[in-house]
Parts: sequence; C-alpha cells; structure tokens
Amino acid sequence: MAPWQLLLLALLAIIVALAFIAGWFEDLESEIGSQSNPNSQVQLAPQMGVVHRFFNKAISGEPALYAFLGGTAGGLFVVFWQGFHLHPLIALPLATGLTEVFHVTCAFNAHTSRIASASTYGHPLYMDVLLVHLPLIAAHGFMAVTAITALSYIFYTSIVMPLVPEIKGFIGYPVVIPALSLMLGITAGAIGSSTGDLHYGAEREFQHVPFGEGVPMKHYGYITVYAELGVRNSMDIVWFCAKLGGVMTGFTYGLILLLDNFRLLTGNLFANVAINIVIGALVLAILFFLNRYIEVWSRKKFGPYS
Amino acid sequence: MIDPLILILAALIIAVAGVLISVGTILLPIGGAPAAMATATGIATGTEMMLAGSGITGLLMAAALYNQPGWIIILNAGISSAIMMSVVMLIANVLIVLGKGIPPALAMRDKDPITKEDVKQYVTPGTVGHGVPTACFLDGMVGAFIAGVGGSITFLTVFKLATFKMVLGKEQINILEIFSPLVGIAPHQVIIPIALAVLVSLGLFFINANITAYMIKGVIEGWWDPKFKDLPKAAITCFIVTLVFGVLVSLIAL
Amino acid sequence: MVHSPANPPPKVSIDPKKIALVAVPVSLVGVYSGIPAIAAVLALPAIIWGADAVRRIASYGLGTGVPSIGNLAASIGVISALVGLKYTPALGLAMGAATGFIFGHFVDKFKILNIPHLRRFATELAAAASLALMGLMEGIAKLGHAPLVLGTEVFSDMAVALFAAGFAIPIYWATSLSMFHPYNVSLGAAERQGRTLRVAINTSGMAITLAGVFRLGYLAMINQWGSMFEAVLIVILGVIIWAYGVFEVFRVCKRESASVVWTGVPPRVGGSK
Repeated sequence: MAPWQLLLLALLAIIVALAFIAGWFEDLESEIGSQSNPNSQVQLAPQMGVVHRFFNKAISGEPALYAFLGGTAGGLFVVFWQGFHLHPLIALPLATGLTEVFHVTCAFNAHTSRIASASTYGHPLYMDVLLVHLPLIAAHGFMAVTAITALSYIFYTSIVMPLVPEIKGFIGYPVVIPALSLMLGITAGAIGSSTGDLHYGAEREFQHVPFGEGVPMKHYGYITVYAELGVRNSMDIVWFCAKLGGVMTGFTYGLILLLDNFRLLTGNLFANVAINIVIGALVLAILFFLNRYIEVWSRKKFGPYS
Repeated sequence: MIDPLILILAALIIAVAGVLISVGTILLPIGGAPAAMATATGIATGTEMMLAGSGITGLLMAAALYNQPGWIIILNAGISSAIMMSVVMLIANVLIVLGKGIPPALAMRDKDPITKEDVKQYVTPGTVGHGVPTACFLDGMVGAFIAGVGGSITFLTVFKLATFKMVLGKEQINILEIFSPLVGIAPHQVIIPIALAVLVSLGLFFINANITAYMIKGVIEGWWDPKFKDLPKAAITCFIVTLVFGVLVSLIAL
Repeated sequence: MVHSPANPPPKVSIDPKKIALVAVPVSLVGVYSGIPAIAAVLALPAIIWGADAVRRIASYGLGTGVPSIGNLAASIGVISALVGLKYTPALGLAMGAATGFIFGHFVDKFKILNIPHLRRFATELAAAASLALMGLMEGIAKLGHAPLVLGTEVFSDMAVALFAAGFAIPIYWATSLSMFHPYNVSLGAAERQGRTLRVAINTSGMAITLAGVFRLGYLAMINQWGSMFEAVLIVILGVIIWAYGVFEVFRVCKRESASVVWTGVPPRVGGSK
C-alpha cells in the first residue's frame, strides 16, 4: 500500500479514538453536574421534602449545552490558529480552557438560581457542594470539548488543506471549524443524553429500587441520598457511571463516526458512490437484526414481570 | 437583480423540506425525561434535540458529497441519519437490558405491531413501558431517514443557489440545476456557501422540530399512538412558517 | 416533565412595555450607527427584552420546552438579521417581527399551545432576537465606521468574517443561550423577575465578550492591526458586564435561598434512602 493510503487509515483510527473519548467524557460531565433528564428528579426532590447534596446543573438539555461549548471552542480555536497564527497544538487547549470559563458561569448560575427558586420547600444552599463541583465540571468538560474541537480540526483540514496533498478529497467534511464543532457537539449531547443517562437515571439515582424492573412514578422525587459511605454527592455518581454508562456512550459515538467515515472513505477510494448506499443498507439491516436478537434474548432470559 | 420566480420556487422547495422534517419528527419514538428513569418507552431525550442530532449526521454526509448529483446526496444523507438513530437505539437497549435488567416493552398496545408478540406481560406496573422494542426501532429508523432527506434538500437548495451566485457568478439560474452535479470545484472554493447552507439548515431543523414537539408534548411511542393523528395540524403550520423563512433565505442567498 | 395548569400571570417588578420601549430604539440606533463597538454593546437591552419575553411565554407551562423556544427565536432572528444587514436594518427587524407573528398566529389557531397573548409574545421574542443578532454580527464583522444605511457592498465583506471564518454560527447559538438560560435556571416555585433578569445581564455579558474576541481574531486574520483598539474595548466592556452580572446573581441568590450553610447532613425522609 502506498504511504498515503496508510495515512488515510491512520486518520480513520484517530477519528474513532477521539470520538470515543468525546462521548465518554460528555456523559461523565453530565453526571458530575447532574444535567438533563435525570436532573428532573434532582429538581423534584425538594418538592417531596428530600434534601440532597447533588449539584443541580440545569443549564438546558445536553445537546444545547454542548452546541454552545463546541461552537465557542471552535470559534476561539479559529481566532488563535488562523488569526494569531499560533500552532494548533497550542491554540487547542487555550481555546478550550477559555471556553470552560463560560461553562462554569452557566453552571454556577444554574445551581444557585435553582436552589433559590426552591426556597419555598426549605432546601438549603450548600456552599461546599458549589465550590467542590465547579472545578470538576470544568475538568470533565475540558476533556470532552478538546476531543470535539480536535475532531473538527482533523475533519476540516483533511479535505481543505491537508499536509500531504495526495489525500485531498478522500475523508473529511468541508464545513468551517466553528460550525463543525457545534454540530459534533449537538450529536455528542444527543447521544450522551439518550444512552449514558439511562444508566444514571434508572440505576444510580434510584439505587434502592429493585434491580430488574422499571421505576414506577410513585418513586419520583425520592432519590437515593445516602450511599456507600455517608451522604452521596455527584462525585459518587461519576465513578459508578464511568464503568458502564460512560463507556457505552463513547462506544456509540465511536461506532457512528466509524460507520459513516468508513462508508465515505470506501466510496471515495473506489470512486463509485453506489457503494455508499449498498454498505449503508447492509449496516441498517444488521443493526435491525441485532436489536431483535437482544430483545428476544432478554425476554427469554428475564421472563415476564412477577 | 433577483428573479422573483426563482425566489418563490426556492422557497417552495424549502417549505416541502420543512414538512418532511416535521413528518420525520413525529415518527421518532421519544420518551423524554421519564424514559431516562425507565418509566416510558423510547429514547430518553427531548424531541427536537434527538432530531437535530440525527439530522445533523445526515447534513454532514451531504456536505461531504457536495459535488454529486442531487438524488445521491439526498439518499446518502437519509441513510446516515438512519444509521445514527439505529446505533443510538441499539445501545440504549443494551444499557436497559444489562444495566438495569429489564426487557424492552411497550404499553399502548397489547401486541407489538410488527412482530405480533404479546408484550403486556413484560411491562412493569406503574410505568408505561421501557426500552426500545422492535416496532419503535423501525419507527425511529424510518423517521430519521425522512428527517435526513428533508434536511439535505434544504442544504442542497441553499448551497447550490449560493454557489451559482457567489462562486460561479451566474446570472440566469434554471431551478432544475439544483439537482445536477457540480464539476471541477475544489473544496476550498465553496467554504462560504457550505457555511451559509449549514446555518440555514440548522435553523430549519429547530423551527420545524419545535413546532412538532409542542404538539407532541413530550412522549410519543410511534404511529399507533393517538397523538399521531394530529400530524396534519403541525404539518400545515410548518409549511407556512417555513415558506416565510424560505423567502427570507432566498433573499440572502440570491 | 410536570405540566402546570393555567397559571395566573406572573408578578413583575419591571413593566414589560417599558423594557420594549427602551430596547427597540436603543438597539436600533446601535445598529444604524455603524460603529461596531456601539452596535455590540447596545445589544444588551435587546437580549434582556428577549429573556423577559421567554419568561412570559414559558411561565404558562412549557416545562422542558424552554431551550427550544430560545432556539426557535434565534433561528428566526439570525436569518432576518442577515436580511437586515444585507438591505437595511429596519427591514430585518420588520421581517423578524412578521415571522414571529405568523408563527404565533398559526400555533394559536391550531391549538398547538394554549398560551394567552401568544401572538404578541412571539412577535416580541423574534424581534428581540433579530435586533440582538444584528448588533452582535455587526460588532464582529463590520470594517470602517460608515453608518449602515445601504448595505449590499458592506454585506459581501461581512460574509467573509461571518461565514468563511465561521463566526456567525457560534454567535447565533450564544444569543439563543443568553435568551433562554435566565428563565431555565430560575424555574421553580419562587421564581422572580428581578432575579431572572439579573441572570440575563450575565449571559449577555458572555455574548458581548464572545463577539469582541471574534472581532479580535477577524482583524488579526486580515492583518488590520490598527483597529484592534476597538475590539479590545468590546472585550473589556463585555467582561465588565459579565462580572457585574455574576456578582449580582450571587448576592441576590444568597439573600433569597431558604438558608445558606457551608455544609450539612440531610435528614432521613421516608421513601428515599
């Protein structure tokens, strides 16, 4: 194989690896700050009289927040890289570090204002919860957003201005970097919200509800407040969910980008666009039958509700 | 100056794309916040955000294939969106089964509409189903495909119009040239039209998905859900609002 | 997601009509003036007006639909802002308001949402979004100080900054966030307009700072180091507004919370564990 073909395969591998990291840390960041759908229980808890020590980061849904962070990081990266002509490896952490200042402000607004709005139920504002979790939110967000911005840099330059001119036109999307990182951020948020949050919301938040059944509505608001050692806070949730929920979210994002880019690369390499369609239809059929297999397996294994 | 016939035709194409996005949204099996707690069937995200996530995957594929004929772009974008939605639904099922130990089940019908199996015995009492059963999976795949098609039609229209005006400098535009391939244009020449088309498509996804989401009010299981009958109301509203939006977009791109 | 039944209209401490009466002329003058620093900083009243309109719509029970109404408004706003910057700003404002009115009219007619005065609120929201975006986009991309009376030649220069470097898209989302964020973080039983609008000050500070930094980058890209002073001015003013907003929100939240303690152990309640 010619060296430039090996370079294409290397690019594909690094794209999938970065997507895995982006998905994993996106899910963890939404758990250290308790965002999006499971957060509705954390918000409901004061109304049921349950006092908790979780960080109530109700900024918006995860896709909306990651669009903001991705777009801001992409825009700042373009400012430093194309504007001030810094090397991309220096511009990248600088841009995402400044983005985290925006992120921390939004998180701060969310926690203090929601607790103040819950003052009719007498929920106290714990200052140590506020001060301990904010740097952790920034750290997890930094990892996720750096991966997303690096991905968008690789995609953009592979097609518009590659270092090795032979690989031009084979892989990548010709969309400008701020728009691309915004769109990758929305996708990462949508994936994290629909897969990783299931592990947090159904399992870890209601850990005292028996394993093996759904959570009926009579339990809503009564979340698990006491844990393995003393009172639970959001850090306890993160180390648990990093083992299954986070990994599956990263796996999902990596798989989606792998399938899409594999289709694109194969079609471009053979210069025949019909290959894309055939591979796509095959992949869809395989996924449908995998889902059917899991459904049948679980019903046979777990049996009806008893 | 701007030819009013091209303006109206372009706005009509964009309006039809908007209706397709609305139809795609209502077919997605959305569980909203309760699904994240395994209390409802479907995907545990908000409607418009899940649609944006899958539509954007299709949009990226459309941008990558910018110089191909129209029908290839549209078909590939639809398939990309469908792949994204399918992978998400599959992994959500894996997490429900292995992470919480529940088989997928739906609650609005006694028998699954596609496989005709009995599902009522698997539903936990006090919930309205959990996970993504086969009928919801098929629903989601088709819905994401239609939404991807709608998004890429918008992208194609705005991108081609802006390219004809800004890059090729054409004065007379035949509306059917939107669907024909572009030859001999390098990627770095079309950055501005692609960025404009991406912005417009994003805006269109959010407007149409939001109107449909307000009608769904949070939880929908699939085409057998009673809320599905309200589709014409949302479709007409989407058509009219997108038509006005399309006129504004054509004023910018032309 | 909890749906509340029809609520009585929320109490206000600042009359909404006064906010609109201040926002429209001030921001419009900022856009017409053609001086980027003034246009960017005078987008502040428009964003506060938008946040107040979101508050009025969403308090009738949108639940988790608050970010979506912000996105809808910003989507209508960005396209009408681009039309306004291409032809004339008053046309952009009028088209934004008209699209918002059409949206409100049809949603109300088909009973998709049951909100009283939806037409007026939707018109206000879309108009606020287009004013704010016109000001911020002019702040990023306009070169020279000529007033913005006829726009077509100016627009093709602006298209380079906004689309070739790609700065229009993050600022579109930052404006959307700055409009829906204040009400979304104050959702609850004890929500109060004064506190919500203070959060709006700090999010608009974020949007203005972002516009300033993008302008810095754009000027550096086209090697116009002489006009950098103005961009630095936008950044400094944006940071001042942002910091003031953060301190105000903290002060007011500490005053209004049930109790502020350094740490504590929650009491055990039946049902949770």
